[in-house]
Amino acid sequence: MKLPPSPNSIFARIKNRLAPGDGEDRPSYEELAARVLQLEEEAAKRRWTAGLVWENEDMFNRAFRENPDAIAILRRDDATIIDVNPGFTRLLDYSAEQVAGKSPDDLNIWVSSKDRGTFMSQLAETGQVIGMEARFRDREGNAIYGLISAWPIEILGDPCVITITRNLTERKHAEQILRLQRDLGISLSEARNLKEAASLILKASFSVFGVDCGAVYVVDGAASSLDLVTYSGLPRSFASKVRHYPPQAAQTLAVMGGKPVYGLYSELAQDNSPDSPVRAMALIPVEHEGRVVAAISLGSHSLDRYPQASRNAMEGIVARMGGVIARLEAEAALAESEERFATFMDTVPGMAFMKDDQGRFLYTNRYMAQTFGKKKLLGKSMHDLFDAKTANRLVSEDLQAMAQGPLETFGAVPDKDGSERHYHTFKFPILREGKSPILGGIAVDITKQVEAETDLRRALQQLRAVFNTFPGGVKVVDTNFNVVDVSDRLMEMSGLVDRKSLLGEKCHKVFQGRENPCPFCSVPAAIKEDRLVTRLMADDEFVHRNEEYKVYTHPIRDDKGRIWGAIECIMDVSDLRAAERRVRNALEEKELLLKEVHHRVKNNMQVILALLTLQGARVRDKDVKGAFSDMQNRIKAMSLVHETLYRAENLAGIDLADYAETVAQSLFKAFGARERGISLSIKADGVTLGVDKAVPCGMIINELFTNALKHAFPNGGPGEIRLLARQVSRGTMELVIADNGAGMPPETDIADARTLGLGLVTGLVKSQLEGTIDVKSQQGSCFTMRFKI
Amino acid sequence: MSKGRIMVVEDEYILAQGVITQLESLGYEITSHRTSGEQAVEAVEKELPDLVLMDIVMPGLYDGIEAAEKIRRKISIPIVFLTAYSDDETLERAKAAEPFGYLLKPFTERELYIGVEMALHKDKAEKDPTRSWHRAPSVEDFDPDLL
Repeated sequence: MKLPPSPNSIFARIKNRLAPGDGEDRPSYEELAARVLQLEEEAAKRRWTAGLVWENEDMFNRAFRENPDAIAILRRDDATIIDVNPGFTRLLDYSAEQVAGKSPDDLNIWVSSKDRGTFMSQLAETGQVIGMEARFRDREGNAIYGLISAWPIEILGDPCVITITRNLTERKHAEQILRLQRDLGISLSEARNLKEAASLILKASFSVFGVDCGAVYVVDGAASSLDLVTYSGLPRSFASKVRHYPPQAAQTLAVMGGKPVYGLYSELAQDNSPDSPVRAMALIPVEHEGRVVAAISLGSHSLDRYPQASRNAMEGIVARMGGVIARLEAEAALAESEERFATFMDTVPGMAFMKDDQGRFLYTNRYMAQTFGKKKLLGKSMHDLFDAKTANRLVSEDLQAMAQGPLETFGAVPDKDGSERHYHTFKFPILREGKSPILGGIAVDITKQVEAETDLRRALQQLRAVFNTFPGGVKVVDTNFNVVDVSDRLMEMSGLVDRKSLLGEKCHKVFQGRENPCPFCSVPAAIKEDRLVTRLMADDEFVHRNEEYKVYTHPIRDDKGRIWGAIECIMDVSDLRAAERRVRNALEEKELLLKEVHHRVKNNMQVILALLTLQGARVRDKDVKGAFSDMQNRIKAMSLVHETLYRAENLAGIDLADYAETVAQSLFKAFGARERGISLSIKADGVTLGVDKAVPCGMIINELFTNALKHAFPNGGPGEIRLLARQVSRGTMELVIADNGAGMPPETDIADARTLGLGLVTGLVKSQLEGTIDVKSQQGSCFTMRFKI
Repeated sequence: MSKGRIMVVEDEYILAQGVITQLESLGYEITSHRTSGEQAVEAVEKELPDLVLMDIVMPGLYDGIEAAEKIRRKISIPIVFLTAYSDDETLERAKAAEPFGYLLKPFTERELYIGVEMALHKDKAEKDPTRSWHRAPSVEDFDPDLL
């Protein structure tokens, strides 16, 4: 600003004014004197005014310098800036020197050409601008909101404009943040999950000055590490690098500190790699209920540090995140709770329902829908679903529960197939403030239990019927001899009347009048040995002396297999024992008779033998005599079967070893074998034959021994005839008869044997015994026969 | 030429051999000796004997009476029972099988011959439509030497 004009310059200008111009008349002295006087007065006035001006100048100067608003004085004609105050420097970061002689357009101060146009036209039209909001650009290019006013001013005759701009940036930012927060609040309230909320927060953060990239992390509570939820403004390759921060990472530690941290990315992240494009960085923790639950990292590719306004804005926005997390957690908890409730109710193995005050279903669980085969039970009344009788009963129960409180019922309801299901139902009123009460109910299907109970009752009835109709007396006692049950028949047999009075009493006292367990009691043995014990009743045990009783005692086990008592069945076996005795007597009689028969048969055969002996004595022909002798031996062999049986204790079988020994000894004697040096060996231990097999077997032994004694040792002994009999498999016997004599002539064909003896052997083995015969004739003869016994 | 072909069914081998020897000496041909009812039923269609001499008491699935009934259902062959039993019950059962004769053991060769011949003749008469069903065999029908 220039100083006011000095007196010398004023005088110069006066002289100049007094100098006559071309063609002008020079003034007179008086005029000049008057003029001087006037000028003196004027000078005096001016001096006074100059004093005032000086004073005003000082005030103006102070006002100009010290005003906190930005003041600029511009030349009107070319809009060059004449002077600016320190407030201007603070606002736009330009010093007076930097702007002197430059126009606002030179400095590119106007952010919006529209703002500039409005300002200029208003100034041109009205000569002044009062309080217009506009955006300006500072020296660094930052946008600044200002409230600008402008007046014309004349300085030393030069038309100028003075502008005063008040900084509205912070207020504007605050307003913007408020608006942003309001909008964010609305959109966050609709965010359905953390990622959605995080994206909204990021998007909002991007409207903060300088913020152009960012990422949202959640804190893994268990591991205290950071996991990326979403990011924006960052290349994927970079994001993948910052996807997870372990507990000891610089970022994690900074976040867990709970305070926002600002700085350069390279310092905060300790990442000096040239490919990290982020410069300024803010790491702002999100707290919820006193703990850090998330963090938002906001970066700038353009700024090296965030201005305070940006920091405030960022923190304001991020502060919203805690609320969102709280809401989402609450919603998740509610949803989980609802889901848990629904899952629980739908998996409950019973029906759960709620009815309104009109008895219509408000809620039914899945089990109920499945039971009644209807998907839509809601809104249905009992009469919609069941027959009138069932519906009336259910409605009556409902009303009772609503009127009197919780009610427990048992009843049957038809299911979707029409079959009756039994339910144990609890019904209860649910009171609601300001609303009519509703009815709640839970019904458990007890059909199986009811059926099992019915079956059990029937089983008990059956058992009781069996118990009482059993021809013998029955009693059940526990391990301490206490009577548990007594059948009607035993009551009758014992002459007792009141069954109930016996129960729980000691068995020995009730039935025997003893103080201690009876010595003959078989309960201890049955329990100890865990088996059925049978015994005949002791003589002094029962009143009916003429009858015989048999006692069957068996242990009784519980579900776990432990013996808890015993059942005793007392049977009158008088008839059975009598029958047994009759059978035994009859059997003895029969055996006696059979022995008698065998004895007589043997005697008759002896008679035949005697007759043959008598007849044989008269025969002179040697061959005929031999035939007589052979016949006698055959009959003797048969006779011996009957003799053995007659002597035997067991009529059913003959001991082969004994029988063979007798037959062989008889033949050895007849043929004088021992005298000829022929010995006998018989081995047939344990082989027993029935009569039907013994006779053909005896005949075979007789024929083969006779054959050996006749032909095997033509020159006498020493020699041996062996008999070996054994059971080779179940039901099959092998009989071997061999000698170490001369053997049979090679032309002998036993199947076609001309001699009666060998023919008989083959025929008896094959036809009658249905067996096989094998003959060997090396170092004597060996006959091996196998047949069924 | 034989006087007839006979199957002998008897489980006692020695008794069977005795009967077979007698029949052969009487001029009959023995088609086979079987020792059980099952064997007889199985073989009868193959051998087609003129007559079956059947023991009643035999071991196996069925006795002589049952075997005779089964044979009769298959083919028309005269069957003569040989038995040591003469009780009423056995006789009633045997009657139901409609046998052509019933020889009680022990029998003589002559009794055997008459029993066999009567049965063969009766069978012939039944099968020959020209001869009267009721005509009894005359003395000429028998071998005078054997009689």
